[in-house]
Amino acid sequence: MDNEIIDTWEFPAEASHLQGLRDGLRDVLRSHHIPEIQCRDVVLAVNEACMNIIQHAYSTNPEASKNVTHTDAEIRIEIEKLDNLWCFRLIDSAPTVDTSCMKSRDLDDIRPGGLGMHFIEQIMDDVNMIKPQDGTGNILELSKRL
Amino acid sequence: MDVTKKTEGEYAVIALDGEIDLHCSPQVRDEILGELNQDKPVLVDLFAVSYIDSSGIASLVEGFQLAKSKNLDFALVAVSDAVMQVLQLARLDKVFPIHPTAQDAANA
Repeated sequence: MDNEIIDTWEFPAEASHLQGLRDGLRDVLRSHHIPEIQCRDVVLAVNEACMNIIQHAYSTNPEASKNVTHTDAEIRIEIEKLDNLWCFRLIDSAPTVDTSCMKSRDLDDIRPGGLGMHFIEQIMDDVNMIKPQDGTGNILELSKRL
Repeated sequence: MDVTKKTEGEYAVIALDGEIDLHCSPQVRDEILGELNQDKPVLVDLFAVSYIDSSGIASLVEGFQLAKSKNLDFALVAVSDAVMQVLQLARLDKVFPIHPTAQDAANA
C-alpha cells in the first residue's frame, strides 16, 4: 500500500508565517477527524520544528548561511499518511544541522528556552533527521500514529 | 494576539487573547517585564489563549524568574486547557502559581 499524500506547503522561514501553517495543519487534521487534543499536540510539535529551522538552522551559522538568499529561506512541509501513521516531513535549504546539537534539556532546570525539542520528542512517536540525497539542506521527519 | 491590561488591587493583570507564538511572544515578554520593572506584581490571564508555544512559555518563565529576583508576586490565572496542556508537557504546571481568577490570586 502506498503512502497517501495529504498535503504539501512551502512558506518563507519567517515567524509571521507560522500562524498560517498552524491553521492549515488544523484544517487537515480536523478534516480527518483527529481528536482535538491530538490536533493540538501535532500542531505544537510541527510548529516547534519550524521554529527550530527559523531560529537555528537558517540563523546559527551566518557564514554558512550567507549564500542562502531570502528567497531560499523557505520551509517545505510534506504530510503523508499510511493507515493511521502520519508523517510530517520538514525540508529546508539551510546548512546541514549537527544533529548532536538537537537535544532536549533537563526540565528540572527551570529557565526560558530549550523546550522545543522536548515537546517534539514527547509528542511524536519518531523523530528522524534524514540527509538529503544531494547533500544540501535538512529533512526532518516527524511521525505519529493518530 | 491582543493584550489588555488592568489592575486587581495592587496587581497588574495582563490578559492575553489569541495565539502566543514566536512572532508575538516578544510583545508578551515586553509587557510582563515592563510591569515587573515598575515593581508591580503581575498576574497573567490566559483564559483567551488558544495556543502557546515554547517561546510563549519562555516569556512566562522569564517573568516568573524576574519577579522572584525582585521579590514580587507572579502568577497565572484562568489558564485555558490549551495552555495547561503545554504547561504540563513542560512540567511547569507545578512551578507557576496558578489561580482560577485574578481575584483568587489577589486574595491568596
